[in-house]
Amino acid sequence: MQGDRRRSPDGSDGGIGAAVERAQHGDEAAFALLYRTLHPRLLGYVHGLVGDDAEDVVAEAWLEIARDIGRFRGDGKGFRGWTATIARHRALDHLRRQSSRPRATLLEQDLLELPSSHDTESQALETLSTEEALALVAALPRDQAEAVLLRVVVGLDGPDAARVLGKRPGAVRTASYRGLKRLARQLLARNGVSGTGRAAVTSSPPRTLEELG
Amino acid sequence: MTDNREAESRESARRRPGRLGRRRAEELLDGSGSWPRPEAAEGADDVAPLARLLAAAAEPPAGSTAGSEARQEKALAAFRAAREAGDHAETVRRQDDWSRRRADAKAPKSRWPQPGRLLPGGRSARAVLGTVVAAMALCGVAVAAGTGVLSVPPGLVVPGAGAPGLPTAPTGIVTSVPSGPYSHSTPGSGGAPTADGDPREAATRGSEALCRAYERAEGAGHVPDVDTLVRLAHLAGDDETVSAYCERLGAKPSEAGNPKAGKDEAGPDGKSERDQAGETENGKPGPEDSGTPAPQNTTRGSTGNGQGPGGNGQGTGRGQGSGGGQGADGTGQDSDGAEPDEPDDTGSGSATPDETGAPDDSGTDGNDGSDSGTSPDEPDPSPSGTPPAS
Repeated sequence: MQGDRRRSPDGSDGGIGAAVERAQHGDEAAFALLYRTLHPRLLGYVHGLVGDDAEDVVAEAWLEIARDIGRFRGDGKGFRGWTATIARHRALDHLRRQSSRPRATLLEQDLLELPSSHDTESQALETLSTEEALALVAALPRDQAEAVLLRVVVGLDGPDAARVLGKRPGAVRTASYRGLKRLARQLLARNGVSGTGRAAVTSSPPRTLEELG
Repeated sequence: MTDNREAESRESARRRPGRLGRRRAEELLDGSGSWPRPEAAEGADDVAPLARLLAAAAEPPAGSTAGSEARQEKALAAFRAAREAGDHAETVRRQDDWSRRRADAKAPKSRWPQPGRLLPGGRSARAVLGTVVAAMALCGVAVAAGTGVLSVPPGLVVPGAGAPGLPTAPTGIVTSVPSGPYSHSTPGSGGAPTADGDPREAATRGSEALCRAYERAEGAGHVPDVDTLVRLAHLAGDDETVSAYCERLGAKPSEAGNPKAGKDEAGPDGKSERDQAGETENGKPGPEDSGTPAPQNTTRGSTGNGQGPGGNGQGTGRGQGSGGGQGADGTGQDSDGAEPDEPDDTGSGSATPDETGAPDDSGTDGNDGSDSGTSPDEPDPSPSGTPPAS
């Protein structure tokens, strides 16, 4: 299920790399391929930054990518980082333009509602949709959210994510680690809540607090 | 659902999700690790649900919204327009270069793009250097005051005047440093660093060690320690060229003997990069050739003056100078005010001779700077070679 989310093991991100090269030579089909491949990822990332305006922001980013792709140097893996950097800048511009927008609070609120609305009909976590998952990640403190999104959604490795963020790799590693821990905690809490509710109706082994402890 | 928060804190109080270790986290983030199989997912640890969540997040969202086609079309149109306008052949800016190997060799700066301009250590080289220089200056002052004798570690000492032609005195950036006596003694140093070979080789050896330490740390994913970084930044002439510098060093370690070679490499590279990127903005002293000498010299002056024992090799002195220059942030020094200009001039004047040595020297400095006593490079003071330049 996470099959395509990653660069190939050799890190070359082969398909993308080839497409980048062709696009740099003017191949529009290759560029379209890049778009289709990377757009959802950039969107997921940017959504974590700007929320609902992500579509517009990423569209802006793509205009810039299209314009500057000839300048890019690197392989497919680098291309992910390069595009993420552009998208991030556009997102930050966007945030600056409307600097007063509350972000995390709203999302967090939504998130906290998730379990109750879902666990009646589903197994909560088992069926987390992409949107819900992204929203959960996006609700982390921003440095953590960005680090996790860049790694998981955009598919960057640690150093590339650090470069995108303009931080030390170590700092980014720590931020992403904290983010994961926090997510894990939240998931536990949710599970704890929905688990007790589910115990009566589900045959699956309940994840009780005792068990977890 | 406000309970949730409470629940969460209760949970974490009872039990920290300690099972998610760093390694496991890294695997999850990487997607390379073993993702939990469905059966395993029911395990009692907290990693499984997290893994599911991340997998879901990574899943490309299904379906496309109404506007998405139009957006893609717009992007494609922009692509065509750029292609037709020939934009695609444009020059590569630093932020566009994501090619690792090449980036390191050619455009090292690109590794650490813009905002921070941080050392790998996360500190601005200038800030760090400023601190180090200030500390050294203070030490020097203290020592000088206490002893009246120049017991300053050779590294620290900038044999003030260095070149005979140069006016040593003005350098007194560090106000309190009794420049007078020292400078007197210093003049002797004017002699050319015949010793070149020695200190330099030593310096190179030292820098190799530094590079090894740096690379080890990087390899292990750690932040190299500040000392190492500062020194390397000195040696490389720029905090962003450190890895490239180390690579070069690794490639031709023997070069050390040949001061110029080393220097040239370091200098031009850094510079050209900078130019490319159009980033001269940094206060960073570019490679010596350009007007850059000023900052370096200035600093040098400051540090050196007071303390420089006459005897020390010039090489040392200079080295220091450059260090200071970089750190130059240390406004304090400047303010102290011995005429800043003067030092500069001096610097430039002498610059030519120095030029050669400059990078190397700085290397030395770097070392000296951090732990004046220890640095492996410490050129023996004795060599006091006279700089041929003069």
